[in-house]
Amino acid sequence: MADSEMNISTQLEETGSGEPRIRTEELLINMGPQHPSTHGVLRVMARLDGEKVVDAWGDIGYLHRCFEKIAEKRPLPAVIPYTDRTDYLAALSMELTYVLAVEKLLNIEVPERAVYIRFITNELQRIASHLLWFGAFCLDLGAVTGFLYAFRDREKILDVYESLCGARMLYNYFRIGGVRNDLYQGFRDTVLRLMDDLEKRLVEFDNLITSNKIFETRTVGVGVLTAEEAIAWGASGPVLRASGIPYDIRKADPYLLYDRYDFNVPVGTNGDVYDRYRVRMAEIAESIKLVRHGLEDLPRGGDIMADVPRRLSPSGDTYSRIESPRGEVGCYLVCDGTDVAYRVKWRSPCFVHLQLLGTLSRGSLIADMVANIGSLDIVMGEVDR
Amino acid sequence: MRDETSDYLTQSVLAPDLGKKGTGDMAYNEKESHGQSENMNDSGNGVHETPQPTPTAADQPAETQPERPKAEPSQREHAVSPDAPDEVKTTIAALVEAFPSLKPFHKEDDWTEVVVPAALLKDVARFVRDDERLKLNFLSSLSGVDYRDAGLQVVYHLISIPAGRPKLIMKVNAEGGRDNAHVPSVVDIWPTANWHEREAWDLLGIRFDGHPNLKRILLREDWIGHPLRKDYVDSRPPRERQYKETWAPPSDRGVRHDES
Amino acid sequence: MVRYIREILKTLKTLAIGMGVTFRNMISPSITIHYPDEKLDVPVGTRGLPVLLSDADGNLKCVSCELCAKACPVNCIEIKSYRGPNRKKILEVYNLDSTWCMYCGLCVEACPFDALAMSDQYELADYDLRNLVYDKERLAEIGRRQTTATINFGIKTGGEWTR
Ligand code: SF4
Ligand code: SF4
Repeated sequence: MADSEMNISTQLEETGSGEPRIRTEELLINMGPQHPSTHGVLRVMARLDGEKVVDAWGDIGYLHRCFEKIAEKRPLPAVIPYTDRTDYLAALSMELTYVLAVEKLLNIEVPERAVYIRFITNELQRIASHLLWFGAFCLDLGAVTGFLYAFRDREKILDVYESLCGARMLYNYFRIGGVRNDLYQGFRDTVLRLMDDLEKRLVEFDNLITSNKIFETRTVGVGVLTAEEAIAWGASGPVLRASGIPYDIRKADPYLLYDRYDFNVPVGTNGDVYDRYRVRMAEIAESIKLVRHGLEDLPRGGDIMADVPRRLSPSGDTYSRIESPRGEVGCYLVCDGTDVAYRVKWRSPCFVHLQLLGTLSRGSLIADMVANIGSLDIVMGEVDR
Repeated sequence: MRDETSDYLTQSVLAPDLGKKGTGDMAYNEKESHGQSENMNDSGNGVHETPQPTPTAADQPAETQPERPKAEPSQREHAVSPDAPDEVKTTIAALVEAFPSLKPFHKEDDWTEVVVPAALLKDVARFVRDDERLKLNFLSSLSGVDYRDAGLQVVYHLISIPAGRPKLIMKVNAEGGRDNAHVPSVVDIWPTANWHEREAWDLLGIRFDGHPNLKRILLREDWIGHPLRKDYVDSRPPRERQYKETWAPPSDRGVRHDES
Repeated sequence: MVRYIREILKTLKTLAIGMGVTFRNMISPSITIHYPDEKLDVPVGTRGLPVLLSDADGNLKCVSCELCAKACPVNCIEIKSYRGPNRKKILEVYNLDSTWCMYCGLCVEACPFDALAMSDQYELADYDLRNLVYDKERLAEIGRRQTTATINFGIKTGGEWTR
């Protein structure tokens, strides 16, 4: 006891007014890279003043595999399994970005049925990814129950994928010019039943979390991102829309079938963590609608692969961008007339969103930083590529 | 380590027609205009030093060398076909009006492409962000490309956040040769360029003048070389397969999968 | 003060709603299984370890064309063959390094003779790295145990689903 008293007394210093004051110091702490709430191997450095975050910034690269270099070394079709591994929670969106870029260069017209299959599976992917985000986010905030429920429902979607293409997460399903195999018997019924189920689940999640006072206190007004900041920092996807900007590439620059079907773009108002949560949950509902539309109009029979030359020789450069569950994914593809890409640049939304960490966390409590990181929906495989 | 760019926030105008649909048709029908992208490599002529971005693949057989059609700069000035989307025409008109030396052209879909000399980059960038007609306030991606002998290039994909507005590809050829390639930084114009530029420096070795914190981002601080360069040599020993033909199943363990 | 009490009441109400959800799920049937003791059936076409298939006589169908090795993005298949007496290639070594394999299935799609298939083996962990390099015999052994019900013979690019 005497020791600590002495310690405090040495920390007292005389101020001008003659009153003793405790000298404080900013503390630099390190969170991660092995930390359960950093969603992978993200290392966050934070400068703290007491419990307040003065500044925070991310340090990345722990999962770097130089996907872009690998893509320069493999034939164009053999890169598809690697694109899966950039964002392993929404692998089909990644495949789609790459495949669309190659098809644009090669001028390939994809058969109608394949387009529908891509459309349906992609929207399912969005649901699965948002469900996982919901679960992980609940866990970040200390609500373990939500995590279990979200995973239970996501598993059912993964089961559909496993029956469809043989893998649960890394599908390798899309091909240049179509998809790998046709839908299996009973796909339509399974998915429709699943969608009915999910709709009920969404109400359940809503009851569980949305109006929960503890949840509200932890999220409302935390990590506010204004619309101007969001655009300037290149935020996209739900993060951008939560700040009140209804920009969705599916509407702005339609690919696949998004111009055929009507769907809403959920938009937040305050740009805080709570709005990001609301936007994502509303997006699940929209995706359920889109999956139903797609299944309704799915052409019965027909090709699933276009006629693709055996030896691919695209040349030129192109940029394809799609709306993945996490935001805008872009693929800048340069080809030089061989069947190996000359340069593949991956624009990943999480990489861009991680820059926002400082903006979101400055002035907030250290506990809210976990909520901030969670609300950005970061997949480190995509950040580091 | 600190990213000190939060002060550089751009102002942006949010138009009321935000949710408007883009003019683009369905993605699969958009390829008709694709043929115009053929002259993508010739846009630098007469503007600045003109690295022809022709990958001269030494390790590839000669017959796979890409065909590079060449167009005269004078032809390209009038290359806006009458059926190009309106946004493209607007973009080209606005750019040519402000910077007569630039030669923008219609690339594909509703993208306009322009090659900008590095010295002009800051002015052009500020102009396209602030101009009322363009308002390109969103830097979608910043990619570095190594065109071997033709030098390094930085490609900016710019879009405008209210949908259905211009989109621009800016290509900037780095100055200073391969060993000291540098390009002005645009972090103060689009703060999001911060990490993109650090990545381009890390993986391709392009210096961005004026970047507040140009450090390696994905690789270790002490990494040697820039891996995405075409002439990068990986100094690490190749991964060996340890158990080649000499491999035999250890007799005591048996084959595990027979049991199940 | 009134506001304070209302806050508390609202909190309790939302908590009760949330607990209601939890309670309903508590009494609904369990969906988990006890993994090592029970196992879920894997669907047709699961991409497990690639294995070699044999014909009716028990001989490997593989003709050592090495197309699978060329198609593999991670280069984890090692093939060695020699010409037999009647100029026929005889497969001597077929090593599949499952520590490198990413179970993408591109090798199966590349094989023109249906000699290779993705099996339903997914429990591939081992204490010894050497056991994870599968040689010809082990691959064939697992391949013989596959039946039409559990193997995706027909899944090729653009192919029909065989079920
Ligand atoms: S599954 Fe993929 S990684 Fe594995 S051996 Fe076949 S091609 Fe190679
Ligand atoms: S492609 Fe088929 S037949 Fe050819 S070596 Fe591989 S497994 Fe054997």
